[in-house]
Order: sequence, then structure tokens, then C-alpha cells
Amino acid sequence: MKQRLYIAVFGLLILLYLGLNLFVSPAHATLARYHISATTARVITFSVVIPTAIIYISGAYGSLMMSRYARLINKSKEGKHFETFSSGLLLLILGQVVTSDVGNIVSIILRHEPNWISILTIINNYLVIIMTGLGLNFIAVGAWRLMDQTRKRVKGINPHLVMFLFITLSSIYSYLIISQPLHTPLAKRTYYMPDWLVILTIAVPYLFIWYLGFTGAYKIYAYQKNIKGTIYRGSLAYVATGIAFVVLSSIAIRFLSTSSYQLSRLNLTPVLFIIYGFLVLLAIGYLLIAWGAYKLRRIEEV
Amino acid sequence: MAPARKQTLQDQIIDISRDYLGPASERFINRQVTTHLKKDLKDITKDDLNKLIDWIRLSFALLTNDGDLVDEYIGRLLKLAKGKSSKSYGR
Repeated sequence: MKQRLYIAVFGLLILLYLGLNLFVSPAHATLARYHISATTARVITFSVVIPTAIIYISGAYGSLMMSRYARLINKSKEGKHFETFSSGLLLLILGQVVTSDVGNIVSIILRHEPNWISILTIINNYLVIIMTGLGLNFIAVGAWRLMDQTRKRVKGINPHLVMFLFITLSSIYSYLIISQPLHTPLAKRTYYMPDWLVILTIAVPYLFIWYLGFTGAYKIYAYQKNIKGTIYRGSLAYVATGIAFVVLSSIAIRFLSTSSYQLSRLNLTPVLFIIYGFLVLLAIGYLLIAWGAYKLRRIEEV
Repeated sequence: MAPARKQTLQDQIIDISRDYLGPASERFINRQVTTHLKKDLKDITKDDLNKLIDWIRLSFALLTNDGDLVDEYIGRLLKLAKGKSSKSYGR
């Protein structure tokens, strides 16, 4: 019943996403910014929106497969942790579609009500944080509890290396936030908040959310490395790799948004390549999760 | 000193299976026993082993293309059936 409700809600959100992007005419500001015609803008929109919708649907499919596996083993020790973990995946992909839809609706409202820009931008920014945070939090909690079950010393990637990578990422993100001119009108277009509030309520939460994402992906990887069972471990490896790709691409989305000042100085082609790169990473991640979940379910069904 | 606790037949089968199926091993074995032998796992005896191993071979082969792995797993179970790898484990 819950899965049917999720599928129904997700389906409506995808239809809304397609409708808002394909049937609403492109903004004049966008056409002027990139020196393209309305037809060219529509073609570009089509080339991004359709693959994105397919990838979102793949994401929901992979997450639902994982959820179905978790329900199959829900009476076992690891079952409830897989349920938590798969709930995180479902929330993460749902959040991505919701924030896409809200972003599109905000853009349309602003064409008619430009005075609402600050409040709508603030609401949109916080919505993204909440949706991403919820999803990654559940993934991290499920992964931590799975790893705790093994009660083994973690083999695999050195945790200090993981921490080093995270510190590097945080430093780059902090630089991007600061190098975006916070004291100019452009910054106001991004955040519409004082600097201290941006740091405290946007930058810091994002760093924490990414920390959750990183550790969640790492814990699943470590669990897969430490658990017994050649066939089981091989199946779980797909899930672990897929999670890593999904978490990394979710973080990449945020980097793109944070780097909007730097990106706006590029011409259109590199921007599209960056977007396509993110889409490919996301697609690969969710397909790997779907495949891993399918193989894990097979073990429970034969 | 407490005497070493002898593993039951079910424990030995699951122990061997765990090397291949991890946390899913007990569920896998239980399913083979209840579905194909129409028994509870706790009721199986050495006389049931050969038939159980045949079903395990069939089901396990559906999960992997690695013939060597299948042979290794089944080989260990066959040794158990012949009474060659019974072990006593202490707590």
C-alpha cells in the first residue's frame, strides 16, 4: 500500500516536472543570457529534461527494488537496517524531483511576481537542504547500523583517507561560498540573507549532510567488505558502489548550485557538459543499486 | 572446564552455507528444507542430507555462473553427509 502511494505521488511529480519544463515557454532572460532562440532553448530543454526524467524514474525503480528486498527480510537482524537505508534512498530521489518541481514553479512565479524573489529563493534553498538531509540521514543511519552488526574492525578504505577527502571537499565548498561575492547584488540573488545566516544555516548544514552521505556510503562499503558470503557480498557490492555514485552526484548538484556564479561566466556548452556528467553519474548509481537489490532478492527467492 | 558443545547438523549446514550466502544462509537453508523436504529445519537428519544437497545444488546454481564455487560448496556439504567434517565447537 505504501509503495503504491509512493509510486502514485512520484508519478504525479514526474508529470509535473515534464509539464513545467516542456510546456512552459523559456524565460526571456535565459534566451538573452545565452544568445539563443526560443526554439534552440526548447531543444536544449528537451535534451536535458527527458533524460533527467528517465533517470529520476530509474532512481525510484532502484530505490523501490531495494525497499522490496528490505521488506522481504524484515524479520531478520539486518532487515530493519536495510529498511531504514532504503527509506533514505526513496526520500533522496523523491526529494530531487520535489526540489526540481519547486524550483521550476518558483521560476514561473517570479516572471509574474518579481518582488517575491527573496522569500521564494529562501524557501527553495531550505527545502533543498531538508529533502537532501532527510534522505542522506536515513541512508547513513541504516548503513551505520548494518556496519555495527559485524562488530569487526573495518577493512577497506582507510577512514583517515575518507576524512581527508571530506575535509578537502569542505574546503573547496567553503572557498566557493566565500569567493561568490557575498557582498554584491549577485549574492543577494543566490541567498537573499545576511552572510552569517548563509554560513550558519546553509553552508554548515550542507557540510554536515555531505558528511552523513560520505560516511553512509563508506559504512555500506565497509559492511560489504567485512560480511561473510561470497555470493551475498558480490551482490551487495553493486549496492555499495551505487550508493557511492548517488551520494557523490547529490553532492555534485550542490556544487553546481553553489558555483552558479562561476558557471554563469562560462558559455553554454561547458555548462551542458557539466550537467550531463552529473546525470550520467546519477544514472549509473541508481542502476547499480537496482541490480544489486535484484541479486540480493534472488538469494531470498530461490 | 565446560565440555565442548557439539554443533547440531543444522548448525554445520548453515555454517558451511554462511561462507557463500552470508546473513542469508539460514533463510536459504530453511527455505530449501521446508519447501522441498516438507520439514522443519530442526527436524532434518543425516538421511535427509543427500536429498537436501541436491536441492541446494539446483538453487545455488541459479545464483551464480561460477561452477567451481558451486562444486566447492556442494563438495563441503557432501563431506558433511559422509560424516567427514563434523566438528565440536566450544563456547
